[in-house]
Amino acid sequence: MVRLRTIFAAAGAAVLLAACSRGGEPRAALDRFFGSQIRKDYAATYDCYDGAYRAKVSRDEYVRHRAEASTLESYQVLSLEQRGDQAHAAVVLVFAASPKVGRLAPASTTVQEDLVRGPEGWRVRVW
Amino acid sequence: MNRWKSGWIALLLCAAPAAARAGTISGVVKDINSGGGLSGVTISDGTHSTTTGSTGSYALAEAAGTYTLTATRVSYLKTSLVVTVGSGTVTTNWALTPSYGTQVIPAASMQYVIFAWNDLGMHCDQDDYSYFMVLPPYNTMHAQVFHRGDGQPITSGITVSYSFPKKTNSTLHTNFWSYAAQYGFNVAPNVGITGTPLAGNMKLDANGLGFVAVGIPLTPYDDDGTWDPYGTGTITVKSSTGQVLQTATVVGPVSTEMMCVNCHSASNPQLDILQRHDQHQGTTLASDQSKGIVHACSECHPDNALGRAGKPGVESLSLAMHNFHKDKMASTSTALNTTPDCYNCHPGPKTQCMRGIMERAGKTCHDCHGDIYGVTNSLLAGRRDWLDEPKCGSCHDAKHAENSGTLYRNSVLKNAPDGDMNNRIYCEGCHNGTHGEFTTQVAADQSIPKKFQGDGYWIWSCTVCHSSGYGSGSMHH
Repeated sequence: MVRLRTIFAAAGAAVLLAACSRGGEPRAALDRFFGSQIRKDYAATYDCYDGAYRAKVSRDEYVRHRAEASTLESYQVLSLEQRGDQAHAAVVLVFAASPKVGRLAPASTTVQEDLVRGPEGWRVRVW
Repeated sequence: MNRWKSGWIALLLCAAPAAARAGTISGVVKDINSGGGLSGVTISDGTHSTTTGSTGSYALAEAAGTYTLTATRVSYLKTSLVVTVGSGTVTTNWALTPSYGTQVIPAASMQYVIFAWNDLGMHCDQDDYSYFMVLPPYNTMHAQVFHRGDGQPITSGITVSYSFPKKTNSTLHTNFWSYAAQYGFNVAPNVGITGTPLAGNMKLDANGLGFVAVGIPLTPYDDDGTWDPYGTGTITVKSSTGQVLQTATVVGPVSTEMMCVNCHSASNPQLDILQRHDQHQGTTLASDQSKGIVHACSECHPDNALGRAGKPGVESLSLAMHNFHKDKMASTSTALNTTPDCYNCHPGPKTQCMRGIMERAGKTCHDCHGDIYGVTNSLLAGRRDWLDEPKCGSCHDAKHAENSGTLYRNSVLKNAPDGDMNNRIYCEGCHNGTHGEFTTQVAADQSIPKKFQGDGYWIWSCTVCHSSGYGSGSMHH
């Protein structure tokens, strides 16, 4: 029983580590980044940023502020270019209609995302 | 008898200087980076001096008066402070900056240099404008362009543009433009209250020394929803033929971290504010809001930040806010434990607006602005909000003070070793905006000195702008 619990605990830890860290290509990092936003799992989104951003903005603060911004409804990666440990993507985002911002229909925009591969795997770079 | 007499004379001679130096300046000297105490630092007023002990502490006896003290130590920059002494002990702590200047200056291989900065070091914004407006999205960026060699600022024959690649559509995450007309601003979405868009060309500033974009409607939200109060923009300088001469990255600091929720109802702090205002002042703000009618604070409260006169007899917004809240900072444990207390309303515990070298030297908001009682009292005594602000010269010597009668953000270099430099370079061009003075805690702030000078310090190297003929040394003589 103890051994089973240990195995489950180890497996859980591995899943957590993989949530937005090692493994995967930049495309997988983008999927985690935007997918978690669609699920409104902003704590998981936070894990997708690089260390420089996370060093400055705490998880709680990020989650609180991200919830103030518009809800992401869908995304589509238009292009993704990888050069060594850096990658650049153009992504179409569709934000949900928002009574708060007076938007009656979803709004679409194209954003440029920079990714960097570090010790933790591919992460979204803010600066 | 003669022995007695000579003894008294000797005692008087010894005692006289001590009696005259009845006050004491004491404190601790630390390394600005490590925070560790520094021994062997000489603190001097030019006549008397003392040296710090192993913990960095010192004490210097002084007569009542005002002194310009210097702190000197091998491998550290000489630093000076103005200190006024009475009959008691004045605490004066120091944070010394390690010497620098051994690196190759990157600008040496460039033809053009850009200094760019935000005027205030931080601008406030709101997450929601559907209840009231304190301040609209509004940010001001400055830039000066120098031709290396003669080191002179260029103000014609070029275009200087700005853009924020991650912030191209503020309407995605803020509702300001849904209410802008009600607040008195008939502007199109993504256009600021002065008509300035999120990207465009900067205009020649009022002094004719550089370029400026006033009132850029930045929010802390990137287009993808990332909360980034220190988002960066790109300044691009082009020749008259469209050739890119130089680019630079600069922070457009903006935060929505006004922590009203620290004291006001967590479920709806904005409605709570309106209801309490109605209770105290007999207004109908909450009722109006429920009907879709919203008000800017500056409709009634004069506000120099927006240049609005308000209504006669009503306190300025700054006075009303500080005066009313001055004894309420301890109303909740969250507010009480927010340090400094200013961060209950100004951004903020996470934003850390005050992040420059003043903060790194151990100063707090209170050291320049006073506490909330001090701010209130100064406004009651006639200080004009936003127009009369703390002076660098209150602590720094005349060489490093702002221009007489002029705010730091509008001041220019006037005591350069080369007279050609005087009246041409803004203080903020070399030192960055107030609250974010180089070198700052935020890495993004340091983009310009790092690009052109190779470190995150203020612009100290003559080589950044001059190709030859200039040695090292202070730019302030």
